[in-house]
Amino acid sequence: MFLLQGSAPQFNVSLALLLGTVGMLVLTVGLIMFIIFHQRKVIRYQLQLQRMEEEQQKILLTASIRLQEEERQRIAADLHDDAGPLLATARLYLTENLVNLDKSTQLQSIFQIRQILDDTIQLVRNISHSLMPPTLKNFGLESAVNDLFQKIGGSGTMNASSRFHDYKDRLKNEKELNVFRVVQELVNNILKHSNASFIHLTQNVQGDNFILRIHHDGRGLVQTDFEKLNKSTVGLGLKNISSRLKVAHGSIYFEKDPSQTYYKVTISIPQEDPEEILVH
Amino acid sequence: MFGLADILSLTLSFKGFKNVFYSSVTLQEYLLFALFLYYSIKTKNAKKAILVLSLLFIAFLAVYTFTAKFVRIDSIPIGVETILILIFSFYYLYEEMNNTSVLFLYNKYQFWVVIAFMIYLSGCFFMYIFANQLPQQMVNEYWFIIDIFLILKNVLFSIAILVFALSRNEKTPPRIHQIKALT
Repeated sequence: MFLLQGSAPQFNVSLALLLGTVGMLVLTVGLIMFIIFHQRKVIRYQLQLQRMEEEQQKILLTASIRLQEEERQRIAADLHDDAGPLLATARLYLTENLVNLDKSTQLQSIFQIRQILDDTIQLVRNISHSLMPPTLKNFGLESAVNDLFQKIGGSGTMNASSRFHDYKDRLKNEKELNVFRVVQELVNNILKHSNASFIHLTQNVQGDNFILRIHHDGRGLVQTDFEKLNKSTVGLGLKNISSRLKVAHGSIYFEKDPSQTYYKVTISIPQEDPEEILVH
Repeated sequence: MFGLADILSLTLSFKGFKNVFYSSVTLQEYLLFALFLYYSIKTKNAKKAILVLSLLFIAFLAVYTFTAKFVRIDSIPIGVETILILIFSFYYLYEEMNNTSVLFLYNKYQFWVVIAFMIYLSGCFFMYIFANQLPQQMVNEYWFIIDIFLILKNVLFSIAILVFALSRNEKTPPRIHQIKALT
C-alpha cells in the first residue's frame, strides 16, 4: 500500500529497490539450488559408474575363478586318465616280477616298466610345460613367443611368424608371464574361431610402452565386440585377457586394418608400473 | 565474530565519527567474510586472487573514507564488498560442486556460512545502494529489509554452528570411560 501513496520518483525508487532485492535474492537462491542439484546429479552419476565398475570387477573375478577351476579340472583329468593308468600298469608289471622268477620274463617286464615310466615322465613334462613353458622361464618372452609361433607354423595348417624388434630391456617375470598368457589366449582364439591362413606378431617399443601387434586374415573382433563380450557372462578367455592386462596396467585394442583385409590386435603395456615410477 | 561486527556498528554510529566508523565496520565485515572464504577455498590461485582483491578493496576503502562525503552510509564500498564476497562465495560453491569427495554439500558447516553471506549480502545490496538516495522516511520504512536479512543470516549461522557441532561429535572417538562402560 505504501508504494501507492508515494510520489512518482519515490515510487520508481521503491519499486527498483523491491524488484532489485527480490531479483538478487532469486538469482542467488537459484544459483545455490542449481549448484546443489548439479552436485547431486554428479554424485548419482558417480555412484552409477562405481556400481558398474564393481559389477565388471565381479564378472572378471568370477571368470578368473572359473578359468582356474577349468584348469584344475584339466590337470586332474590329465593325471587321472593318462598318468594314473600308466603308473597302475607299471605297478602290475612290478607285481608280476615279484611272482614270476623266470629271468628272461623279469627282464622283459623291467624293460616294459622302463618304457611306461618314460611315457609317464613325458606326460608329466607335457602337463608341466602347459602350466609353465620352460622357454619362458629360462629364456624369456621373446623365445617363448617365437617357440609358440614356430610350433604353430610347423604344424603346416597356418603360416605363423613372430618378430621382436626392440626387446633389449626385458619386462619383469610376472609381466612376461601375463603377456605370454594373453598372446596364448589370443592365438588360441584365432586358431579356434577365425579360420585364418596366416598370423603374424610384431613387437615394438613406443615411448615407455611395450607394444605387441598381432595380425591375422581370418574372422575377428573389433573393440566394440570385445567390450560387449567382456561385459557379458560369455567369453571367459577374453575376460581372462582383460584381468591379466589390468594386473599389468596394460590395454588392448581390437580393430580391422584400414585396408579391411586384416584384423589387428594391439597390446600396450607400460615397461615400468605407475607405482614404481612414483617411487623413483 | 560476525555478530560482533554488527554490534560494533550500532555502538559506533552514535559516537559521531561517521566516516571512519562506517568504513571500519564495512572493513571488519569484509575482512571476516573474506578470511572465512580464504580458508575455505582450496585453489591456490583463487586464494591469491582473494588476497590481491582484498588489498585493492582496502586501498579503495581508505581513499573513499577520507575523500568521499557521507550522506548516511558508505553505499559504494558496501556495494563493492557485496560483489567481491558474492564472487568469492560462488567460487567456493563452484569448487565444492567439482569436489567429488564431498557427498552432500549441506553436511558441511562452511556451506551454511557461505549461504548466509550470499543471502544477506544479495538481499541487502539494493537497500544499501539506495540508502543515500532515499529520503530518511523511506529509509526508515524499508529498513525492515535489512533486519529480515540480518535475522536470516544469523539463523543460517546458527545452522552452521549446529552442523559443525554435529560433525565434531561424529568424528570424536569414544573416550576410554565410555568404552569401559560399554564393556
